[in-house]
Amino acid sequence: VILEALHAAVQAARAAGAADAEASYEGGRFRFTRFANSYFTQAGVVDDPVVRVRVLTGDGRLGAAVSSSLATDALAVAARRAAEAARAAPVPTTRIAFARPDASRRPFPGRADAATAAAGADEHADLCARLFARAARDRLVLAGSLHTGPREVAVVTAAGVVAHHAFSEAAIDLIALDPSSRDASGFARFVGPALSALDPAALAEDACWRAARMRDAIDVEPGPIDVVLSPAAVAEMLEWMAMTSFSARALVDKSSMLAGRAAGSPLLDERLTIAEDPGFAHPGLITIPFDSEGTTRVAVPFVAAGRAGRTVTDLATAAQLHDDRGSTGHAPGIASDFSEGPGPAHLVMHPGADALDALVGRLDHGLLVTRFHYVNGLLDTRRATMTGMTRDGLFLVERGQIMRGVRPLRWTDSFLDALSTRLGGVGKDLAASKTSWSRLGQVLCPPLLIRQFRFTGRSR
Amino acid sequence: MTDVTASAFVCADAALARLAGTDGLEYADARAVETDRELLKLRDHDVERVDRESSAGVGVRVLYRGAWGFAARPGLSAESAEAAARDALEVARAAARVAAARARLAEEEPQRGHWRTPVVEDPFAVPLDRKLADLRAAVDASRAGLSPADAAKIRSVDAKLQFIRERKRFVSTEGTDVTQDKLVGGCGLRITAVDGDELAIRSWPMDLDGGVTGAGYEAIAAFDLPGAAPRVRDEALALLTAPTLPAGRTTLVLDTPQLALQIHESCGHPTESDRALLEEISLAGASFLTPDKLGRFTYGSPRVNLTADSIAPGGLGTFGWDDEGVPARRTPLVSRGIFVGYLSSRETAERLGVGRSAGCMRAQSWSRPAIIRMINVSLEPDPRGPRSLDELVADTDDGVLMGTNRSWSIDELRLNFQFGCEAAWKIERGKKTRLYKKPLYTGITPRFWGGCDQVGGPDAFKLWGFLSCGKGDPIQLMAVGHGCSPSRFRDVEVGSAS
Repeated sequence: VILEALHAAVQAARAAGAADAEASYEGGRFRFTRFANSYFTQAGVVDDPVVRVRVLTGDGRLGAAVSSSLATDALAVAARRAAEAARAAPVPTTRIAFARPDASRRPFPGRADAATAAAGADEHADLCARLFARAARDRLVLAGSLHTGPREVAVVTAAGVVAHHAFSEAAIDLIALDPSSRDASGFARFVGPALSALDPAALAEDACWRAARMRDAIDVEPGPIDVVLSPAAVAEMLEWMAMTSFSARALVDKSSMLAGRAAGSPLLDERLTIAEDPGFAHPGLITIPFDSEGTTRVAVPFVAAGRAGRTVTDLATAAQLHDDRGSTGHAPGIASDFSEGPGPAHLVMHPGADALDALVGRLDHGLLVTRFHYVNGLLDTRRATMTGMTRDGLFLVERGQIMRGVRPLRWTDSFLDALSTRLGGVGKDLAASKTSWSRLGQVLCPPLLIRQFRFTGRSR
Repeated sequence: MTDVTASAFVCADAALARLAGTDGLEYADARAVETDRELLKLRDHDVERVDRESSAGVGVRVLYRGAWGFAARPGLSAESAEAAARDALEVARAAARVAAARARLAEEEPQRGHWRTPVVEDPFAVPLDRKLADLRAAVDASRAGLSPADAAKIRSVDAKLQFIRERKRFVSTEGTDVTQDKLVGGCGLRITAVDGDELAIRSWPMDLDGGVTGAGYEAIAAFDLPGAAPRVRDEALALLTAPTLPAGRTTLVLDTPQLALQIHESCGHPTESDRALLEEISLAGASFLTPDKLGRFTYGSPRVNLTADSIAPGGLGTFGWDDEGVPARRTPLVSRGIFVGYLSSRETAERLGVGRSAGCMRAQSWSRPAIIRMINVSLEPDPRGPRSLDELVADTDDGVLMGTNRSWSIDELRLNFQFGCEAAWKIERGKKTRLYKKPLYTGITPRFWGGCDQVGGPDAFKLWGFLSCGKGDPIQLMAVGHGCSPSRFRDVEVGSAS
């Protein structure tokens, strides 16, 4: 049904005078349960289709229209409005053509888990009730959210691309809290294509031990301190780096830390490889094999063994940069209001050799960071200078042992500097995170040991 | 006479009809919503985006045996509405089976009526040619009169314009039946200068969304992008060679665009009652303004009066009724420095015992449940305060002026903040002097507001808007307003991002 509708939209665009046309779909049935104080605050199920029709005139002018309906008449209206928009635009200095089939690119396989796609309201309620009961044993309550559902993406272009992919998503964030101690909170997260991979008891245990250990939290003076950043913290740093440095848009703007650096030149510690890697073998990875422009995604190393790589592109930035790869298949999602240009959707920091415990064991005096809060990466994008807070589990480590909780600290640091000159180790176990601001996109990363991480303030 | 289509009437009625007579149903509402959006973006003379978006659907919320359920379907047919009602009831029944507590709602009178944004010129009737010409004029003004050397340093000029129109009908089982036709929009300019490794950005009138207001196309002329462009460009070029701001403690004067963000982050969010009740902690966080502080906590100096207001003309948080049918109203949040009120819903108003909702339940679209959001949260002007930014600067012997945001970060209790700005100026003996690049300031919310010793007067008051306040899970973006006059803060820690 979806592909038929997209074909009809492309035909309608051609009938409206388009020289080239593209129709793209994102949607599914999204089920969510949100809770706080071990009580459901919001629960719902949403069918939210989005269709975008884009047209090009013969001289390269581009117009787009978006509809929430797959109905033929609604898409015909969208096609006409896109054509009107294109005709109103001036002739561009850089021209694109919509995607055409490319036999040289083999799509990375994705996964749809039928049980996850079909998980209903009763399964949500029962799973949450089990989690609440586990937390109650430690005199804790839970806040968080559970999301599940089937998703679909599809693209049809006038040049012959016909792409459709169905997949499933399951994600849960847990924060365990002690109602009698504002300092005591702990965080744990699960993301993956299959809810069956979730061990609810283990996830709740992970959040609860952190909260319990935070009950006697102390203040620590800000200043340079060795840290082990847990994967959720590393993921937030990488999300910002993806926006500010790994997008070709940032290269065009010269705001990327890759700007002006030749591919292969030294950039970060040689133990670090960071890539857009849709085919990376990990049970938590949700692979989406093509982008909203219908381009089959390719793997793109941003940093390979510490050396500068390249950025991801979409049709527009590939044309602007005369990129020999063309689009790498990383146009932003059509329902993504925040995206400025292309971005990675399967951002992977490759694993190192050490278990998390081993990294912590190498801290003589330091902090274990569970996750960050409200990071901002716009301070100095070329140096990847960011600021943020810690939350939900910050622990003092002495002679390799976790001693007690520490109240939140503000940090401001350059990750270009931290990951090139102060990297103390890379963990071997990757964890999946789903980006907060994009409906499509994921981060897989290990814990990191960073020396002399720059803490600059406290909350109180 | 309304501006809401007949389909919205059929759809919303069908949802409630489907639920009528359900045993255990305590409350239900339905929102039938149609949204149109147009976004135009120019990078120099190339069009980056000419996007036109239409969306329509219905969201149904039910309270069944004390538990909430929500469902949404695209389209405005009776079938969509009935399916959403059925789904919402199924969700609520499952939640009720394991719920440990019951939701209760503060009383509100049933509402009837229609509200619309006052508009001089319908932006969706303005031809695209004219809109593009208006943006091109801003680009041309940004590049006019430059030496070849300076022209080479202007990496890009980005100009954008957007309008969003939302028409909706809201009905509830309590008898509320209201329709609204809301329009917001505006424009913005961003100039990026690059010289070697140095990069500088200046925006007008604000960063990110630009200037956005509740108005029609007349807003575009009011923001006057071409008029501001040469100054904004010159400042971007000057920042390439400007020094960084020395670290230290000083007097800080904030112009209204940055002060609006300061209010947003350090007053708007912490006064959200769902945060105070720990219901938003898993995503956006909680609040230091806990219920035990209501009416007795010193939030700021006696000059600080903050109000939540959904009546103010031109605000992005202005409407007739919120998304649970509560009429627009004004609620004091901070009065003479004392924390006195929350942004609330009918449910949190009941739990907090504050009598009635502040009318802050808002949903991004038909496909998202209403949650507690800011409306227009504003710093009231001091009737005897300086009449302009220039007067405030002239009244300041030594300090720093900042005005346009570049980066923002605040902890999950909304206490420790750090904001970076595009530029700062030294104030010496009542005059703006040296320009600094990549400035930032940091502080602790009540200490910062406690240092507020001067708030500008009504003549300097400006109501700004943000389109993209993110909150909720699933994440929702909301348009909110913040009014303020330029103000002064003593003993603030400043420094540089470099």
